Amino acid sequence: MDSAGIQIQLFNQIRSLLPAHISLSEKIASLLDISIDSSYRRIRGEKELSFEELSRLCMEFNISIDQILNLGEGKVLFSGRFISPEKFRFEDALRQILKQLQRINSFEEKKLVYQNKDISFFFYLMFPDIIAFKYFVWMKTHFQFPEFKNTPFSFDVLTEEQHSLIRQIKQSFITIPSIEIMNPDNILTDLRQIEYFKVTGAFQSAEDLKRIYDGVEKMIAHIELLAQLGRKFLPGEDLDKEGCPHTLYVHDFHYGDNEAVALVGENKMTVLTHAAINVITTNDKQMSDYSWDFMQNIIRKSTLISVAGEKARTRFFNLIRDRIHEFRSDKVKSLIH
Amino acid sequence: MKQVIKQVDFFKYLKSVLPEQVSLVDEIAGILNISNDSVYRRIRGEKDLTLEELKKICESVRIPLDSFLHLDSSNILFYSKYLQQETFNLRSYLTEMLETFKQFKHFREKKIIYLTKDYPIYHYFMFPEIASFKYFFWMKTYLNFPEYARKKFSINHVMDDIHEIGFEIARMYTEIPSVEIHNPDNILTTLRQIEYYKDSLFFESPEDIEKVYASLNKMIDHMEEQATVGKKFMKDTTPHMGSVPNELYVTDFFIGDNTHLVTLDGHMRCYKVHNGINYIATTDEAYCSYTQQFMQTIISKSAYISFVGEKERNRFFNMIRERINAYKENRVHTLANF
Repeated sequence: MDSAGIQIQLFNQIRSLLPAHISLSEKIASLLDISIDSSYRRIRGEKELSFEELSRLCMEFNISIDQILNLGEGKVLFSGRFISPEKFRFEDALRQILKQLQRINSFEEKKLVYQNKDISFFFYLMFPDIIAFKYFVWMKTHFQFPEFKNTPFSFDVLTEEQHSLIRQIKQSFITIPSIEIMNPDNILTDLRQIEYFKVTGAFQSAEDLKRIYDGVEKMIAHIELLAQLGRKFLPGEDLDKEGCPHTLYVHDFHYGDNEAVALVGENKMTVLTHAAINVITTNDKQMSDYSWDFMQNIIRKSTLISVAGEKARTRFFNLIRDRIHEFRSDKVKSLIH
Repeated sequence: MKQVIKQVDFFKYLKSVLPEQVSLVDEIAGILNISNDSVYRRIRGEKDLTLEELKKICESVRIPLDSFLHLDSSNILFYSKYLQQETFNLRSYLTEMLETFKQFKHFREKKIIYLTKDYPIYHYFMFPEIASFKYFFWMKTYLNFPEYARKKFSINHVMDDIHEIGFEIARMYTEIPSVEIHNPDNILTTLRQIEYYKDSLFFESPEDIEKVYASLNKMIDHMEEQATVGKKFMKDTTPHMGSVPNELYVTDFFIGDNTHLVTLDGHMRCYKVHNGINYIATTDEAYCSYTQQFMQTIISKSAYISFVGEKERNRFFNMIRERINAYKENRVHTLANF
């Protein structure tokens, strides 16, 4: 590929990263401190970028120049920050997620395809008791935030700022059409975490434990309702309201990775989870096309249970309820019993 | 705003990576087929490099630009290969895995920490029937090979040459000290895959199903034997003085994602499995350190069942056996048979 071709490819990638309402030529003009006409000439490959301009653009948009120049096959540049007590707290992670959702939402053509290992993070956010519990588990057990050491679980654990971010994320999430691929075992992580905290005495009362299990059952009932109607909405919202399409496929032969592919305009973005709830994302075309095709393959082997497939849907959600019941009634053997 | 890197900085970087005896000017003049004067003009930043020239230089000198340009700590560079129906070859895939293990062997200090979603695949490779089932499942169900479209699984179709490579990988794995973090649910993936094939009538005969379950049980027995002595060794052998440690931790509050963290003479690399049996790998220091710390946290909440912890070890492996029996005897409700 010649210089003009490489340059056009670079600008195509930048275009895919910009929200739909932002003009590429204006953005480039402002970043490189050049006129709009000069910006157009560079975008069309008529005027070559200087090294300085190239490095400025790559750093600004986190683009892999190695990939653009096709140096070394098989390199994929991911981006992501990881939760830690000092550098990147839960609210920072929520802000990062909100920013991504807002970017996706700025495009007319958009879709989220998700293959679950656990219940989707966004459903936890819809139930205050559940997200309080999950937040507590993550911060105390997975990321060892010092302020959670020797602290029993409380439903008031989230701050007002976190609640505000959660509200915005939920609203943003329900406006993106989605396809989810679930497995009856996706509930196991939550049930095992409740069990762990039950056995280690982290709940202050039997009432708290009951409230958590009730929350899990409400969450599952809501996911079932969304599947039945094939639309996305928040708990308690008017069911007659128009909602964004939500498609649910189920299978029980593949345990997902909590991986998502987002369709953003003409491009795709892959989101992988790492170390519990951290996310890393890439706009790499080959990686995203591959993940998309892999998910399509899993979908082909799955059963559609949203809108149609009432029998299979009932069966699927009853399997999940059976699992909840087994844990709730202490019928499941855990490692510590 | 982030600091912008100029062309003169690039040439300074280039000089720093070239061997001392190599002249930067001569090298660039040779690569770009231009005069030394023209090279000087580029080095001084008086003449812009074209993208084509930049590409030629980087390809020739074999230097990545990302690590030079990207100062943002949130970027992580992974290396990836995608298994595709058109290009995938099981033998090459396994041979490459074997070569990677051979590379590991050359390091003085080496260790693998594995945070499991399923059992490490190397355990399967020791047992031909269950290994064959896994190979077949990958080819037919994950990769949709057309020649497998109407094919049913039978252990009579075992590919001996493939097994030899798999067996060798398993042997190499037993020679590298490892820490594995297991969960009682790790067995579910394979049990559900067998169940899916039972429901889809993809087994050639009931005997094939029996043999696959029997092989899976043997694998679990062998994993328990290794945990009992706290050493790694091949099936049908016994541990010896040179056997390396097998550290097994169990937890039931966290299901991993098949991430392996490999430490070789103090340098870490992390392999992250995605989309079935694909993986991406990175040596990014921040990413690897975070992974290591996260794994240590999970370990600190887990029970250690290698050599010590007999009661917990018995309980853990018996829970797995109960699960296998429940599936084998069709006592589990699935989406197909509820």
